[in-house]
Amino acid sequence: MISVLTPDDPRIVHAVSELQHLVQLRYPVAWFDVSPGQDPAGTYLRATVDVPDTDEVIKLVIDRLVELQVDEQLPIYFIPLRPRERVIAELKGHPLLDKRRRRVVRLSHTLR
Amino acid sequence: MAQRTDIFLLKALESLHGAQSEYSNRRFNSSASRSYDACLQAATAVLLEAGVVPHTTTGQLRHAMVHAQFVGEMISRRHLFSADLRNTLALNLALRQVADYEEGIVTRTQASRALRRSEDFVDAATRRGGARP
Repeated sequence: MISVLTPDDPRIVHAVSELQHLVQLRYPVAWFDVSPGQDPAGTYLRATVDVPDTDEVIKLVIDRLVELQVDEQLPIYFIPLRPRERVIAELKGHPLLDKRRRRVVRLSHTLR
Repeated sequence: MAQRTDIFLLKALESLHGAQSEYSNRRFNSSASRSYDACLQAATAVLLEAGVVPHTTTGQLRHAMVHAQFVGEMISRRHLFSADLRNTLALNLALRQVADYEEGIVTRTQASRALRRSEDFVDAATRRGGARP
């Protein structure tokens, strides 16, 4: 039975360390953050790596992650991220953020 | 006649259609989020159909229970679904977390991959549901 475990539970600590190691083998300068989360409830391991495609990062851990979740029933989740400044740089020119168009078009009053 | 599982199958199909529509309109974060919802709802329908269900379909641990039971019971033990679907829920959840909560954005390529995984997953669930007497 899956139960809520805090990030300092020994099984979670061990699992986090294992996943971090798998990432560091390929990306030695990856940056990690571990915290509890609620949607879904569990421990979240965030790995920040400066790569164009973070799917390359989760590929390194996905098989072991699913084993931990399914076989060992640990509510642990892995989120690969890129550095914030990279993300912000790519927002430039996004049509939804264009100040001339950044407004909410109301449709609800037309609905019946 | 519609059954209890059809409630979640309907939700899954609506979510999948939403994911497709959002992708078509280049709203990739929204598409990725809906792609995950479609998978979770389809897995819930499958589990209900098989009677393996979590007693509750809500609550903090719903995601973890559905993931574990779908992969552990429906794929690994009963071999009712392809092992290709084993990582789908976990992969799409990771992307949904980025889409909804993290300081990151889902790229077009990532949304496309998530959508493809979601289509495969919901298709498999629908075929299974459609096969019942």
